[in-house]
Amino acid sequence: MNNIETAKDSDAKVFIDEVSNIYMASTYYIFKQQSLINQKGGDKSALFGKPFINNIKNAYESKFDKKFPKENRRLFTTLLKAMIDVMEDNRTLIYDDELSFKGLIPAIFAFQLSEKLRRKGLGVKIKFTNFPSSIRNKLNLPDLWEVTAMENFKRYNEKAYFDDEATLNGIPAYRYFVPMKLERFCLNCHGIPKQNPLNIGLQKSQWSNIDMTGFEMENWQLGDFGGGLSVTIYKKDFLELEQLCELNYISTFACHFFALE
Amino acid sequence: MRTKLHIYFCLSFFCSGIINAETIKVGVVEFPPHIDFSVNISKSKAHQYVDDILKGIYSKVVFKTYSRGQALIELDSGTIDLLFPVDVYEEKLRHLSKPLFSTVPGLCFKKKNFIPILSALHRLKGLNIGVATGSPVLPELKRSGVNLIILTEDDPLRQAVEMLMSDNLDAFYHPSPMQIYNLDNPLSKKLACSKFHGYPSGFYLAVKKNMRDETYRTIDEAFSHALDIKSYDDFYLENK
Repeated sequence: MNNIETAKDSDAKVFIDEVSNIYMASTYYIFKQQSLINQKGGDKSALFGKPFINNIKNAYESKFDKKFPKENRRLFTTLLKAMIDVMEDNRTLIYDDELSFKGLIPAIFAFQLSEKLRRKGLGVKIKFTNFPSSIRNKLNLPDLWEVTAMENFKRYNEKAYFDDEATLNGIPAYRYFVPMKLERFCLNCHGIPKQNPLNIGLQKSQWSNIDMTGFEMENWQLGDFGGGLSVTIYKKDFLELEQLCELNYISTFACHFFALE
Repeated sequence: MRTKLHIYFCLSFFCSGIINAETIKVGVVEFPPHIDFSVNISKSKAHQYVDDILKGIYSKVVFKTYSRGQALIELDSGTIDLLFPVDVYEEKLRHLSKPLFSTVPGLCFKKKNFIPILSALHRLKGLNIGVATGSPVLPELKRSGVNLIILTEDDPLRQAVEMLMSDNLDAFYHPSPMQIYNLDNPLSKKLACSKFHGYPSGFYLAVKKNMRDETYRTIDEAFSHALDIKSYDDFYLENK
């Protein structure tokens, strides 16, 4: 591998790590806003547009104790814009005062965001996944690479795994897996019936092990392995993102014309 | 942004010298909120987007609105060159290579019976779900143990809403429930809809059967290029 390729791989690692952190910060913010999302009435403007992005930036800086990355990459801009779009898609739901639980939980927000990115055709794929026996939505089932990454995490307690020689669908790709340990907020759905908000105020004999989303609770504990975030960027798309405006005249014109960057 | 998009496509095609002196005839079917017949069609975002692209290729673009059934007849007979937006797989039509936009199917409920997360398929077991006759239904929904009730009236949406309100249905299936569940639609006061995330279907521009290959290629490349530069989704949200 020559120096240029090594440098690119190293750039890719930093980049993919930042993408995953932004993604996690956004889902963390969505969790923190569950009361606002589900409440009747009130000012919900913090969930839309630029204020929403500013709040995600704050969540990022608070969660990872570092500055939010500079938005000088097209994918960052696109990612943040996709987050705004997802919230816009849910505007009617969020403002529906007749629904007490709207279902816009972190996992659903994350899934919608991934779907939005996929439709933009950026060559970036992000998903929460877990071992097949622990997965709720079969669309999040892991592939072999992800299973191996999870097994390595369990075996060697790796923090995160970056692979610059991976493939997805036979196409060379950068792949990144960040394991997640269950945080307190995860336990509302994945913990034990005692932690189920639906059981608050009920006798123990009346407790349900079905969470607010309609799934059976897993009885997981704080700190248990909760799957992880899998991020894939096709190498060709990473290079295109980097060089789009430098190497291709038409795209440069388009980039400047539409201020895509 | 709309002006910018138009200027961009005009520049692109003027520079390449392929502006066509012919007229292109485009059929449009209702698909709110993207194509809304209740207001002037030129105000609909999908119309604006398609118009901007075609004006970069043709000197005259003529749009005409149709009911879905009539539109298919017109396209089949070749009196219109293009038709949008249509689910081409459902209708088995010749079409451009990239969808103009995608929608995600879902279910609409009375608000008190709302099920927000449809990946919890087991919650649907035993429910009576209305489906318009001929509408393709997700296999996952069929396998979930629901009772599918076929809606056979001319206006299946009206039938579905009436049956839902009279508790003869628990929910109804819709290929694009956000057409119903959006703040501009009065039905959103009565109903709430959720989506089968991860199962999108594309809505395309269909082309007449006997369109010349060269014409097809020109139009297809123009749309493909346009969608890469500025997707319709982005255009819609920016101009909303």
